[in-house]
Amino acid sequence: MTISNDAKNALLTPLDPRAYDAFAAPSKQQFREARAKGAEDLRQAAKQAPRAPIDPKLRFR
Amino acid sequence: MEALALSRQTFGDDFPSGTPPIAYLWDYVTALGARSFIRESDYVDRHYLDDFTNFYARSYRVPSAHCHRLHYFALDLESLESLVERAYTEKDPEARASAERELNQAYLGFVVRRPLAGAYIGRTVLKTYPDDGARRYTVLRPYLVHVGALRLEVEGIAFQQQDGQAAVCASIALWCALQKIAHVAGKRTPTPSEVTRAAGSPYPASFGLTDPQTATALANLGYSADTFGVDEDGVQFRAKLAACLRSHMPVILMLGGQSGAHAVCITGYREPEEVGELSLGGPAAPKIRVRTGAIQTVYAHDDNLGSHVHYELLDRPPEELEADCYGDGDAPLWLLRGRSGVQGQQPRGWVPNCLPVLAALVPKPSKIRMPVDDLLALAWSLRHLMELVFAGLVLAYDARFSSGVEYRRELLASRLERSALRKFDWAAGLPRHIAIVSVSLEDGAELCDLIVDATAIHLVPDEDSLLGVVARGVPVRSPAWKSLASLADDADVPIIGMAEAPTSCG
Repeated sequence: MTISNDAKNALLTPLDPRAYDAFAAPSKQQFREARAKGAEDLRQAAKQAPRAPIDPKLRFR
Repeated sequence: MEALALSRQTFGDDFPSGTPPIAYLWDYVTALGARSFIRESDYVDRHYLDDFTNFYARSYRVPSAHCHRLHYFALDLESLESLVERAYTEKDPEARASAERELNQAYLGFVVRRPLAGAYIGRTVLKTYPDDGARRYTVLRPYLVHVGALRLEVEGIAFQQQDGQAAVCASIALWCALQKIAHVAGKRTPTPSEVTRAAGSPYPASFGLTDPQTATALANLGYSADTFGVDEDGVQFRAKLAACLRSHMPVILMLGGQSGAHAVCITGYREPEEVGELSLGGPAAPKIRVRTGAIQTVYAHDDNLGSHVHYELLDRPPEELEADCYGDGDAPLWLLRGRSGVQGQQPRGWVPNCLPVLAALVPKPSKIRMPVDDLLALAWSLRHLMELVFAGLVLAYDARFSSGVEYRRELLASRLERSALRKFDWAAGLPRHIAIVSVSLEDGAELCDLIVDATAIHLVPDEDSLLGVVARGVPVRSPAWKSLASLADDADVPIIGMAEAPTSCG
């Protein structure tokens, strides 16, 4: 079994109630930071150059 | 009307010339299994009639205003005759309906044969090739067809050959695309002449349309025009193209060319074996894996050749096609109008060529205001959350638009936890159009969908745009579920998970 499969099983296998309660999901702070990084990515992506204009004399026929 | 066995001779009676579009049509209908057809003479086709009244009726030599319509069946003539006879003569209504159903099962679609010697192939709706696990024909719609009193239906998207007079490639590519978009919007499809008129070109139709005129035609017909360009390695372009197709939106590829430029309407793609990697943050930024970023084969309605033609998107033209390669040699993306590698498998009589891809034009229902560019940006920006939830896994992303209603129906047929489905469905407030970022594992196993409003004009970076989380491949009570549930709770959106654990995670 590869590391990837180990990680898959660890994350995607249902747990018994006690183990489920004990599992620590990411905190609100971590989610907030991830969202802030995502917002920054959106700002960067918005700066991408728009598509180059096509020569307006070019006729599609 | 008459029923006939399909042979080269009977086909040739309707299509006497052996041009590539005619050869392609013969190969296509026979590959679908056509063995017989019904010829509906003196058929009035609304689209041709409009071209006729706007153009041909004012010519010195006026062609007929009528067409033939040819309906193809995967039945031998004897079986076709027998079923038609039963559909008319059975006394029991259920027996008549049963004969009609059997006819429908064998129905392959129709071709309107125009009385134009240079462009016989008018409005054509034929079935696609069968699903081989990788073909994705995503912009089809049903067409209700009456053959006399018999009611048939075919799933396809209309194609027609350019006549070079009333409409040329840009108008025809728009006309093909609007066959789908008008249907989704609940509007009547415009005719080729209506499309050309809507473009507002001061020149005759045969001069073609410019890039702004194609977009103007869409706006004047009541649709939105979206567009995206070609990036340096073509991965973003491919991913955006596939995102549109997965959203059931046809895409018009604007192509360079030697004598005037060309436009084709893309109707589907072949699922790639590779996964593309892209970054929206510059060359040094990390990349995300986007499954459709590696698509190569696309299916095109090309009014120079035929419907759903196998073409390929390539980073550079094949060496053997240097003489048939038109445009700037430095272009980052090319459309090979033909097949690469396999000699002898080109459409008969067709000389493949390679044209540079200049841009894509996407007709959209006017309420999908989010640009296609933002779809990928959305996936790119949500990766931080997903890497937190699925830490340690190699993730792949795909994005698409859907209607809120269509997506709800999709969920009803999925493997989601049934007991929670009603609660989720009733709690989730979805707009008419939504954007969906799908996250999966590298082997294609789906993990979750993140739903965002697509009726917003632009994504606002600091506002929570998430509307819901559908954890299609995440079993309830797994660690990933707990993390996703926390994410949903934090964003105050509903979440639903998978009904049961997969039998194997290996």
